[in-house]
Amino acid sequence: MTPAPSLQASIHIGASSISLLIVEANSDSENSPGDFLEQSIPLAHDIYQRGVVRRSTIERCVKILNGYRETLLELGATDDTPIRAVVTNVLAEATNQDAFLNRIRIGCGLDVDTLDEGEMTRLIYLKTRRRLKDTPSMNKRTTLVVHVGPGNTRALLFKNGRISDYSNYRLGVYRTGEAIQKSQDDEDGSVSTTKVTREHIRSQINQINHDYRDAEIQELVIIGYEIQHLAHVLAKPGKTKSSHNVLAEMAKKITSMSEETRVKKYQLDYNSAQAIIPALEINLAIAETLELETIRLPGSDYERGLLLDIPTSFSLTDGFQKEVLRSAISLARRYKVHRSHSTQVTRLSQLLFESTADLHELDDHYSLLLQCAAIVHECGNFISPQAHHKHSHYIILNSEIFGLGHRDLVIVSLLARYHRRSGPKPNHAGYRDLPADDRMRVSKLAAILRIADALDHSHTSRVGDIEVNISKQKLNITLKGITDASVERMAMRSKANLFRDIYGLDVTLHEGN
Amino acid sequence: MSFINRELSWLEFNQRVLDESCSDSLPLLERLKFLAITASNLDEFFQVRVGGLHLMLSSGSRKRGISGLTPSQQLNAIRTRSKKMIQDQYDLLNNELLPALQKEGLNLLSSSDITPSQHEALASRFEDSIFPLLTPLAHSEETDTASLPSMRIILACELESPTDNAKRNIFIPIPDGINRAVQLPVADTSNSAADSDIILLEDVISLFAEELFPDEKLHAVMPFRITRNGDIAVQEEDAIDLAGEMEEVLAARKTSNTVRLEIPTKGPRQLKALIREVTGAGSAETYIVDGPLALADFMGLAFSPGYDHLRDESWEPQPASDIDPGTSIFETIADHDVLLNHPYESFEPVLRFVEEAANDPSTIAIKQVLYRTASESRIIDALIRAANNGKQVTVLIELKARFDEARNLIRADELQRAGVQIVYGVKGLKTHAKICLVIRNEDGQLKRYTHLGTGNYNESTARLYTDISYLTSRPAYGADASLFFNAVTGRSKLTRFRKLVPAPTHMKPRLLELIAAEGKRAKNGESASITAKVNSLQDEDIINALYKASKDGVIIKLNIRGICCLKTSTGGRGRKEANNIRVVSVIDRYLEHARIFSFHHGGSPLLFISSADWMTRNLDKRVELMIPIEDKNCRKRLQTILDAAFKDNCNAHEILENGSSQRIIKKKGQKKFRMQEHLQNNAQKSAKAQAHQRTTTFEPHTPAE
Repeated sequence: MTPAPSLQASIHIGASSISLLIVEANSDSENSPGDFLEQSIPLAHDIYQRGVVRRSTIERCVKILNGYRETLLELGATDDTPIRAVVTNVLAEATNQDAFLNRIRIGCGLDVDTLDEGEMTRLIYLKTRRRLKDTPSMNKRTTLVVHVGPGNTRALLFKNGRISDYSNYRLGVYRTGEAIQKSQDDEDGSVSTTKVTREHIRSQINQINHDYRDAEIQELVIIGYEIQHLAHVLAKPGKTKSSHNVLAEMAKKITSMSEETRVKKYQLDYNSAQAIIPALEINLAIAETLELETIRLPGSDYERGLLLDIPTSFSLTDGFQKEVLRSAISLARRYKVHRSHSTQVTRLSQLLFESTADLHELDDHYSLLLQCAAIVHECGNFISPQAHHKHSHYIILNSEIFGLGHRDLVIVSLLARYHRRSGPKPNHAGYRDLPADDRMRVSKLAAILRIADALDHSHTSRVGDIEVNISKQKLNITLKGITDASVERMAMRSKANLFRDIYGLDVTLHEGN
Repeated sequence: MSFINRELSWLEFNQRVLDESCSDSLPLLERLKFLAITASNLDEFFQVRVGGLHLMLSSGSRKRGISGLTPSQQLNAIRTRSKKMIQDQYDLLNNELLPALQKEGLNLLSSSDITPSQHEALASRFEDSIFPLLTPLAHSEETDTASLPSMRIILACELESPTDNAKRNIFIPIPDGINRAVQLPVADTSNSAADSDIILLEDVISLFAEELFPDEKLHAVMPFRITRNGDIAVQEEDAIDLAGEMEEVLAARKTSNTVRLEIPTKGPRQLKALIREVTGAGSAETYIVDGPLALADFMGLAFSPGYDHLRDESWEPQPASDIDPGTSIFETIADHDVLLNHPYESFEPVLRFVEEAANDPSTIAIKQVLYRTASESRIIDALIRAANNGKQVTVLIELKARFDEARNLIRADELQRAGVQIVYGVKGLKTHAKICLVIRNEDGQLKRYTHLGTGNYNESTARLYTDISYLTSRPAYGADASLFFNAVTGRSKLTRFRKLVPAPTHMKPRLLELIAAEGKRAKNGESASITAKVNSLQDEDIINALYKASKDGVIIKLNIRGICCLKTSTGGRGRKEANNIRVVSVIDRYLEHARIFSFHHGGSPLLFISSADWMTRNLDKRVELMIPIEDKNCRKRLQTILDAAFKDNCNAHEILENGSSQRIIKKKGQKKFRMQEHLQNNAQKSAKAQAHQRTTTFEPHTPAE
């Protein structure tokens, strides 16, 4: 009996298309991408124009996905074939997102994850990692990677091959495109599209200018679904180098063309034929505001690359975690957090997290969130030591930590909020809106953070190695090399309550040697 | 004028075929066959092309073709040219072929020539097997022309009632499906027992028609034939169910306007007038012929049993030398790419490709485009078997394949019942690509095997048309084939291909790019050349690009069987910019059908095969494929085949600046070279060498591992 072919599939329901990539096991070259299928859908168009996904679009998605399923069956896929399906986070802005996901689950038997901000950033990060490989200069030169997506634009600043800054803007191909369409429908159409676009995106572009003008950027790399479609005309074949002038020329040329001509000439679908104009304008405006002449534009297919990364982006790679922590540290630095205390609490909470794994049963992702919270928990001191946990809460909530989505950021901010004083209460804003699962996670993690914080109550990092064991309703922590733990014991009195409430264990400290 | 009119160029092609039948170096029945082909060609030409021009004319269109002629100017020119051609056909038949056949003992008799005993035999024959098939139609004021069938001989009869002398007219369509040539028992007067006497079916029916109307007297009778417009475009936009609609079109095809009326020279005047009136044919549509109608039917006569000395000795398709019949075809393809040149090399490996896949446990999917299949198609049988064996079978059946729709529809039902996923073509486009993909699961890994070709999956025409087949397991070709099928089945949009070049999106731009690139090299003083073999060259952009390349100094050699709208310069008499272009056309035993292109590309030539001609309809309105050939051995073979297309000095014609052609005559001291014979000999030689090798090295059967 021949074994079933070893396949793996990823599906991306994007802003303007649904795509499927099937990866086949191949002895010659590990895994080789096999069939790639793509069909156009007006998803982002619907959402930014009407706020909902139209029924006809939903049904088109169902039909396309069922066709994809047949393709998979034809290649010998079975129930065990790993398939990961994701949908763009633009969907979160549709009021009928649940109806959409339910229909797909029922119509196609497919569970679709919404790509949250964090995972999208991870995907962009993975793409950029590849750029680092094929463009070695990025390892030395300060490079800004800009991804103009359907709803949001991300900017990643690389210094010495590492992320040194990250930000996210409400500026997107479809968000902008549809808004302009609306405003033009209202006007008499005498104002040029370019002018309206520029006007519309000005404030966000100014923000980008404010964020990066002093970063001494040497190179701009632009990526995106629409813009990479034009890579073959914007850069020489096999090359990535283009320029502001080339982009400007193209924008002028393509704006004057009819949609049909664009479709034919550049092999675009109708959605992209419209979206390409805001895509060009936004990228141009960014290059202009940062006064960058040379632009790099990868010639690879954006969508294929994305699909290739989707199966792996779910699990965090080590390198990615480091980038996230670095970003948290940079946030802590900005708010002048006591560095050694922050490091000490991070280390201790990590040790506690690991040794209580059987109790909390949380995975690596939450370990990362706990570390981030430990790093930045005292940033509220920047405003005032009085109720600084509350200041920490809103500062974090309104900042960016690279690689964390909004939900992640809410959790991190709440952990900081609960590192001292009151534990979570149902009437607390932010906490009360969380789903039950997340509320539980916040309590579990905050309990650990409070103990770690209590262990460095003196802010002197005097606690070294610790040993943790559980016996008879007690969590015993032995502080090695500490002869008198009374300071910590006192701190623990006001901080161990949450741990007792949630895990049912009293925290007992022991002097060790 | 920069272009030759397409219809006139086509007529010149038909003239080249007619020239073949005039050649007395050919065996007699082969000449008769070529004559029948010219007639059958003309039939299709009138149905489709003349029909199309009539439609344009009646819709008031004055749109000029690329040569600058309006529809009515074209129709006039066509009439003048085809009248001459028809005259030549009948001169040849009456003055050369029929007398020569008679000399050989094959006598075509008229009803007045037959002996009483022959008459008797015919009478019982008529009674038994012809009479029951006849359906006479009475003519009245209300007679609808539509009830008279197109493309069939019809007898117009005038009957008189003996009681009141009243006259009336009857039409008797000659039934389909009986041999046109009726064998007579050998006359007692005959000199030799091997002789055979033949009478045409319409003459037999005329002879006994009176029996159909026992109370009346047959006063006068004459045959005629009408041709109606066959080029009815399917209104796809409104189509909900394309298959349903095609059946309607097939029905509609029988009822459209008369574009040609053929009547014999001799015949009663009153009947001629009646026929013209009933068919509505004006003098511009009426063709008076000096002999039997529907010469296409003489094909049957050319193939009648016996008389082998009046035919060419047959050329048998040879087994391909690099395919071991004892090894699985997939093993062979996995080992090396295979290029086949049909019909010199047998079509069998292509049939095996599908047949083996159908039974092979490792095969999980077969995907194929079918355009015109053979009547007892082994391919379709295999696909049905594959579906029954649980394979995923996807077939795209092109319903828009001209004149073959009826046959295709029947088989579509059959395939569907077996569980084959069927797609009826792509909306707005005709799918003409020849591609078959077999996906196998080899120990948990998918492997794709692809057949790509220039000809249809039709084992009958594969014995008559010259075509190229390319079989490969190269992953890039397989991946492209997958993409192609995902696109034509509507599951995906057409995304970027790695190797294959599809029309209507990429092929024309790519060709123009390749032609321009040669021009650029020539301008820089590098050597540059384009060599291509196509069936037709009509696309304006491609022709203009070729003119420009020629002007830039690119050496262009074209082998074009049929239509060539490019105006050559033959010795500087024609267009200057065509000075570097030479066009030849080969008409021989097999129909030239392979499309091969070669671009010099600075010394490392780019070689392609393709399903598409260089016509606008192929490049802009069809789904076609252009396939680069990269395998070293296959390239070498393909280049040899292409080179041979320009060496012929027996059956080749030079295309002249006015669109007509002139046979290439072997120069003194030059060796005789007949391309088709040369390719056949080569195939025979390598097959023999291979067979020899197999008999000298024994290969034991070993137990399977």
